[in-house]
Amino acid sequence: MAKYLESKNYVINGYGYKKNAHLESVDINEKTDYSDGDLIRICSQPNLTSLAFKRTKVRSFSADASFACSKSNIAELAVINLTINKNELCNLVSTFTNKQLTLALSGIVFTNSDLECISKLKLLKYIAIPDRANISEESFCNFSKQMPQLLGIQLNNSTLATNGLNCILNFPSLRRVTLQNWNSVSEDEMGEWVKKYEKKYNRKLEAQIIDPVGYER
Amino acid sequence: MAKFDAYQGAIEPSLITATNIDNAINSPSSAEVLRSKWCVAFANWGMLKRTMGDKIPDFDKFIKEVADNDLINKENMTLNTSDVIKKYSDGKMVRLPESGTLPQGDRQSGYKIIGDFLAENRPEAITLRVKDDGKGKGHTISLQRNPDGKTYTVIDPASKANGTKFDPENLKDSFLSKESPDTRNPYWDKPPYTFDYIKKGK
Repeated sequence: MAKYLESKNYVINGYGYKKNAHLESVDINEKTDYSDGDLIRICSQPNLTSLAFKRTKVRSFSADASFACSKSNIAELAVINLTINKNELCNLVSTFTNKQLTLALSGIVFTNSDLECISKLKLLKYIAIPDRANISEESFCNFSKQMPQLLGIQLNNSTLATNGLNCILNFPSLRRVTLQNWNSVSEDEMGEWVKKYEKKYNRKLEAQIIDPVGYER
Repeated sequence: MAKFDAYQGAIEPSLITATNIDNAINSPSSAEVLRSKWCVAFANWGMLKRTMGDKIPDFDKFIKEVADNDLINKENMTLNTSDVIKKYSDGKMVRLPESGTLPQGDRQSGYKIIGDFLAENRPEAITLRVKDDGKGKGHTISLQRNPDGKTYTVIDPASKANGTKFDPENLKDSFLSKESPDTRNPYWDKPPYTFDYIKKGK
């Protein structure tokens, strides 16, 4: 199976398949020679835990693929650097409604309707929302009240202000946050907010709020 | 000349040290600002210290010296990297890849190039521009060779990557290069930009 997939330019296990290894992750990228039916076979691999769509035009599941993938052991889904509309994204993520998922999104347009679709994944564990996501305070705050199991969130370069930040207090189960480069919230304010969260839930929060920057000449 | 096998810079200088530096160089910026901007200086100091050992002063003294020699901007810590390496090492700085930057559309390829270089050349340390927006804004860390002579430890006190292992022969499981969307890794979706090593000989 690995040989078949590599011959069609799927990326196996990040850096290539080594003999006798398990097939744990598959990337579909712009070089991949995709055929209908591939995804069904991919999702049937018992050790598959991670699936990524990177820079590809393939961005939706057929009904059969969706069914196969919903039955898989996939725990991580990444959608990176591609053009995808809200229906396609919703179709993709909805396949994993019953999974404790890490959803990592980067380099895609992301709006309120995407957030709304994702709010249906009640078992979502970690989410990375794309930088500069075009989401409103209202939409984000609604989202924050619907994800009881969310353990971690990445939301960088956000246009949300203090009110939006305070809505993150609504996620009851967070263990880690990455909140870098918010336009309207300083790193000091972020630091204060982290303490607020820790006080509210009486536990430590792993927080990446600083974005170190260095220049050279 | 004694060389350190210990990792240099795994623990970031405290705010007190930053304040001392701030005062010593008479910077118009606050200690916190200096600390948030000195990653290039810090990573290069780490690489130098690891490679040259006792010849390199402690970080606070190092910053004072380079500031006195006009090799660093006192306000924003912009470092004249190549001159600093030339001054403090027995060699010169070489930036890779020679073509300019690692592939910015393909993170994996970039880490594979770094891995191949480390596996073949085994330098004591390199600095790595772990992300850059193409306009000079980015972050620099260092990778320092482990006692086993083959694997490296990531030195980046600003993130969870600090102290993790980088194995040029197992990029799949190394924290920094892992293609897993692990949201604990702040560089999970950032392609590496360039990396520097010290080439011996003047």
